[in-house]
Amino acid sequence: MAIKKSNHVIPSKERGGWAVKKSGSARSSRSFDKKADAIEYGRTLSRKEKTELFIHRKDGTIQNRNSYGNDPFPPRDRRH
Amino acid sequence: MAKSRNYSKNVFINCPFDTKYFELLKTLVFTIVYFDFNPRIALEISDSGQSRLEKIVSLIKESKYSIHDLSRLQAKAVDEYYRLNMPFELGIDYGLRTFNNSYSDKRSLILETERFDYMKAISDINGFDIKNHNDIPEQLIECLRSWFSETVGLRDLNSADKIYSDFIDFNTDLFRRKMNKYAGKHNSTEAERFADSEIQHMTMPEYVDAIVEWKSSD
Repeated sequence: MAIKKSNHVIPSKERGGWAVKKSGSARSSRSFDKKADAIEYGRTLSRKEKTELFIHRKDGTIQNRNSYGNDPFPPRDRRH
Repeated sequence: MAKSRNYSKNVFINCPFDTKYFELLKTLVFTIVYFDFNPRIALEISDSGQSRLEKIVSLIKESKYSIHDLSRLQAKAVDEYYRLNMPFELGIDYGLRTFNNSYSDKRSLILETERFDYMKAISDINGFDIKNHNDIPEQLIECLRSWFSETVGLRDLNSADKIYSDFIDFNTDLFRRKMNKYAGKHNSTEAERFADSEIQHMTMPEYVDAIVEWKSSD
């Protein structure tokens, strides 16, 4: 299935650290020792690109999703 | 005795079932399915009428291939016991292959965390196909890709970083599918929570089905 453009914080093979990569790209944009630093970089990049940021756990599953534009799951208006 | 119908496509997984190892198990199962093989694992069946050992022996007999992860042979804390199930099941697999000619075509891969760790605990297996993954998912994929090429005989395989990228795409797609399921009736925060909970509690057959479905829709 085609994946919409997004950024991902994922486990990296470099010293067991973390990396940020774009969906569909085999190469990481940048690698970090700490997950918190990878998340911060991923947020800045996603804000700039107005895309979704997926933060993965070590097992690959999604820990958090943040949208910085064109959210495919916008907040629902509970008043209507 | 006739072998299982899918014998040549089955891969028995012998690994620890602790929370920490589950981080690697999902990568392991994904990669096996990615190469069009069937992961066979004790977690796939919950038949209380069958003993755990009977179940494991059946899985070993039904699988031409096996992957034994010995990366928890070392106790990590004071008073913690090291794990004996994995080397025991490796022994059963090796015994079947050695003492029964019908199973002499069985092939196996032994995994460990750090290189040559096994020498300290079970040096008898020196000379087997042993690879180390350092508990890092992408390195585990590299180990598996090499083994599927060298031992199983697959060719023209995608690179390990492409497979890892596909693993990340699969997880993202799975999360989106589950979000879609809940998003109609719940706000996005609740939908995310339900989606994550459903994924975290998927059974092994559900997880394998999800990978197969993702592959067929790609």
